[in-house]
Amino acid sequence: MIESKSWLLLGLFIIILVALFNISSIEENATSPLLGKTQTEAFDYEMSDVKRLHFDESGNLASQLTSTKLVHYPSSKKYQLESPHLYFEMSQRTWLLEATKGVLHEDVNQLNFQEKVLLTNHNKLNSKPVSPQKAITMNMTDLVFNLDKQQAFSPYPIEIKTDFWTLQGVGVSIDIPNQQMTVLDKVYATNEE
Amino acid sequence: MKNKSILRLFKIDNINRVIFIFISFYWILFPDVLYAEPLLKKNTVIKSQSATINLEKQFTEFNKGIEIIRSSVIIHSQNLIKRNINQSDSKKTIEEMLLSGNPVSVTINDKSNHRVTMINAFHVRFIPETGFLEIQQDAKLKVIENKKKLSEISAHRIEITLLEDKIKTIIADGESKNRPLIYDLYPENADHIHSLAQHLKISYPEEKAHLFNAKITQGDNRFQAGEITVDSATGNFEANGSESQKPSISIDLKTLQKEIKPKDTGEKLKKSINKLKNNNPHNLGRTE
Repeated sequence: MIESKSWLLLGLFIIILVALFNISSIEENATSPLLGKTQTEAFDYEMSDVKRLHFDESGNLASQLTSTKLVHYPSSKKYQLESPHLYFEMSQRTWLLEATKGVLHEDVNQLNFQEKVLLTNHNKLNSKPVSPQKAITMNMTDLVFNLDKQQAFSPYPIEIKTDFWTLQGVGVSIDIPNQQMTVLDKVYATNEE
Repeated sequence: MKNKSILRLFKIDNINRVIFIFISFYWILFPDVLYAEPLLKKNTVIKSQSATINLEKQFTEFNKGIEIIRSSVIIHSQNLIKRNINQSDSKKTIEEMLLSGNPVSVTINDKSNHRVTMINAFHVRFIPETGFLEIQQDAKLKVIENKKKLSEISAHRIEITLLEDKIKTIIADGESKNRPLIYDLYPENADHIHSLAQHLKISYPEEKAHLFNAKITQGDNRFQAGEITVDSATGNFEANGSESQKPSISIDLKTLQKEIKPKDTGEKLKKSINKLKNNNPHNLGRTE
């Protein structure tokens, strides 16, 4: 009979082995080797300092997307973005949605913001932020933005700072036509005087 | 021996002692960290299932399972709208909370007096900065001290002003003449006082309840006056007739029914009322 200590050591050995195997095979756009075969997707073109304008059905400028680097992958119909910045109008103000990375899905016209997603409001495009009382900042890890519907959604924990209040919760939806932001679950709001 | 003494130190009892000593030293050296900060900063906490920020109309709406905690005040409701309003006397904007539910419950916990004030209503308006609470529609207020009920108010509207987390005033109004407010008092050394009035004002710490256009019942005694002041602690009360108020009389309806037959009208009825006015020992108003 094998002792529990031996089982523990065996388990640890397997974990270390798997970790080492994964670290050695890390590659951009590669899936885990344990989950499937490593695939490197080929891109057809890349651009730097890109600006893309999106117009609504009536021909008005709905949003403006800028990125320091854009890489196009034709097979999966997507654009890999570095430091994406999306400007859009809501409630007579310009809002800026930025992230470390992003993916623009061509077929569904959907923009996925990834890592350190931040939403802030400004008085005018590229101008200084609004007064502290009317300023809103939103921090989250991931956000999906539908450019056609002008709606955004994130299922992850978020933090909103507005009007000297800090709102924390799980999940957020942003409805630009209705000028609303909704924290979907487990809301915890605090303020200090 | 040394190893044994180290092992003894890590026994559960000893660990507790070590933690206690460490906290005690920490508190002595840095008392501000443990006590001063929470006392200086006034926090409001809102817990809810979801919250919507409406940018067009500039308000935040919280939904389901709402709990608001602000020092001595705890509010539970199903819906909360938080918005900024301009203060009437200054240009300063203050925060207003409109609560509605089925019903909204408010608890004010005065720890210094071991007194808990419990309020239930369908609509509550709370302004945290000024400590103003307005309770509307089937408003019910209950004051409990050391698990003993002190008083109860049922009114159409109750207004509470808080000062440093303690109740400063309570003002209540009845809906109409036909639907007055009900104020019940349970003094320690006196009988239960049941009163009906149009308007009520209680100021703290005096705790004197001023009832306007009021009727009071204590045991078999009944009283009616333009203004009655009740001492909430002793249960003693006095009636005042101010110039603006019409003189009032107290009539025992049971006696009146015995004296007047159903067919009696005119002169006979007037005589009976005059007779009652002169003989009634509970007559508090002027008799003319």
